[in-house]
Amino acid sequence: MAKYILKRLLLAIPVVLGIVTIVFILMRIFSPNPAYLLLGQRASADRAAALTEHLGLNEPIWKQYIIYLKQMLTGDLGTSLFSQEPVLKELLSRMPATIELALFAVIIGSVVGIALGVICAVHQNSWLDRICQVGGLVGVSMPRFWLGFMLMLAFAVNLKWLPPSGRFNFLVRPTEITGFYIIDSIITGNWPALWSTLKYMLLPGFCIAIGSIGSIMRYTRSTMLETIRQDYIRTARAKGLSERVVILSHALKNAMIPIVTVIGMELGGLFSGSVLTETVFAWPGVGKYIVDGINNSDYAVVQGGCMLVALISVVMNLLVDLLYGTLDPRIRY
Amino acid sequence: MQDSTIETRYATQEDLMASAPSSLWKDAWKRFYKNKTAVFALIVLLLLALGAIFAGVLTPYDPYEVVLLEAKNPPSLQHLCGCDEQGRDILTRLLYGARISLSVGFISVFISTLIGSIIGIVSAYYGGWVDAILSRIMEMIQSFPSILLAIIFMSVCGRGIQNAVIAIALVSIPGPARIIRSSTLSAKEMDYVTAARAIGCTNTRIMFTHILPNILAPIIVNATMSVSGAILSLASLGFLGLGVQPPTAEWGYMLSDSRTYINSAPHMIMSPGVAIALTVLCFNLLGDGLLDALDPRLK
Repeated sequence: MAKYILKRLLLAIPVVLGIVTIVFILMRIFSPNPAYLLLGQRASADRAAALTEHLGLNEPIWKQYIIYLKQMLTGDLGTSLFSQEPVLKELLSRMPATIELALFAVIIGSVVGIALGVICAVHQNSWLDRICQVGGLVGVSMPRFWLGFMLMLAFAVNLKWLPPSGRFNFLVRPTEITGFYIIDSIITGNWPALWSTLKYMLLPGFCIAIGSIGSIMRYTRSTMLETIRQDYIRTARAKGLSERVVILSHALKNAMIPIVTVIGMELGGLFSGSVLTETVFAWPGVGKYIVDGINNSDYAVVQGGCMLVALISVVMNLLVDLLYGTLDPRIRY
Repeated sequence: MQDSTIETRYATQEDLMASAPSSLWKDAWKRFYKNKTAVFALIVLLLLALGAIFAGVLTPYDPYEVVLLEAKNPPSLQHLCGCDEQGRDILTRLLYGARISLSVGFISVFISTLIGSIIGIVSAYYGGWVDAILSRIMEMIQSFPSILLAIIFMSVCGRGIQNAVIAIALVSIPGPARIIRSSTLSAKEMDYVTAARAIGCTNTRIMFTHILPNILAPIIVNATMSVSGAILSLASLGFLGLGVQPPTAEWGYMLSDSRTYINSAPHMIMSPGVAIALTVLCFNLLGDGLLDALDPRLK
């Protein structure tokens, strides 16, 4: 097992290197003058020349690449043009908001998705099954940002049940300790803040979760249909176990292994999808930071943010792979 | 009820036996034709394409003409989808936007499928270090979340239809490449490839006139599904302000433009979203139908 983990970690190195290299190629080769990209188009020629010198842009391309790799290894993602703060520091301060929302969404998505998937598999071809199949396909086809606006229109504008956007109410904001507002308000025992945090999270959380529900449901259904036809399920039924026990502890337990993979992949995808949903709901996370960077032509922010999110997806895929091995003892390394 | 279904099944089987052996494509068309959902999706898409092509004839309005008196008017008989914040007819803008969405979708998928197929077929056919290098490069592009890669590309190269096509095509090359690679791997072990080699065909000839036609089915299915992905990506880029140049009528841009008026004129944000969702859904349904029709083994 240890050998496998080591091997997977080593295999991840070229992928990470690849991500960093792709950004380098796009930025240094596709763009006519990187110094202006970093400083903004209105920068003075002197400043541009100084930055060109500072970044080593006059050096041969391979030397630039090595300097760039060194910067990346030390976590130097550059400085934001807009706030003059290091990009890495700003990104890290926005991470908890994004992680909290993604985890919230994935929990909703998994619980609802697995439940619907199991029900559809057990009642295959019933009307409920058909509705869920069509609904899942529609859910996957809808642009998530548009869905976000529709939810906002229904629950915030018309029904006024939930706040339309943002992350907290200034009056009942939890004291920031970890940056995860749910945890913070529980630690400090600030129950009104917990309630308000949850209310703010519900709309963006559901908006993200609806896409995940579709794919997790479809996947659960097909794996469950396969598992239900196995011999050990027939054995379990033959020895007189109740249908509940057969489905939940015999079939679902075995079907869970591939389902966990899909959930892990969804979680990785949620981070990149945060660019869109966080913009819709003005959620102060990494995704919105990247989009603000786009609107301010703040290139270092866009580059650093995208790179960080890409690295997170790679790590997520790695974790899913390792988890897969632990969950399924039939896989030997 | 039970009996009649059994009878019809026998009848169709006999019909098939009696008829002359038909080609793969004829069979596929027959299977596709029976799939009502897929045929419906195809008809919707054809209507949309016709609407986009003849947009100039179909609507009396100009997509860019500003009529401030009619700004934010809700749907009425004159303006079926209402007017936007500058009084432009939304339905007209949707039809003109379909031109952009459909053509960007088709062109970018054509490019990515072409390049991806060549990469896939070459890496599987030659194997060895060629395969190793090409596959690693594809893995790297694929490990990068595609929307982020497109965002970086667009923010470096600037917005515009051409750049959007390149960005979307670039990020979707690994998909077809991987599918074609695995299909070629199994196809190259077939007897007809050995036969072709025995009669002295060149590698290029074997790859492109012998193997390629036999693996067209997965290519077509993947391409159809990719069009829906490309349309969604274009809309997402437009929404983020990285798509085509305003005031071009484009669905994603229209959506992002109308979000300011979500309180005062909610009809403005509805129709572009419905247009995107419907088009994407139809391409997905069409892809599903083609998959069943072209590769009945997967059923």
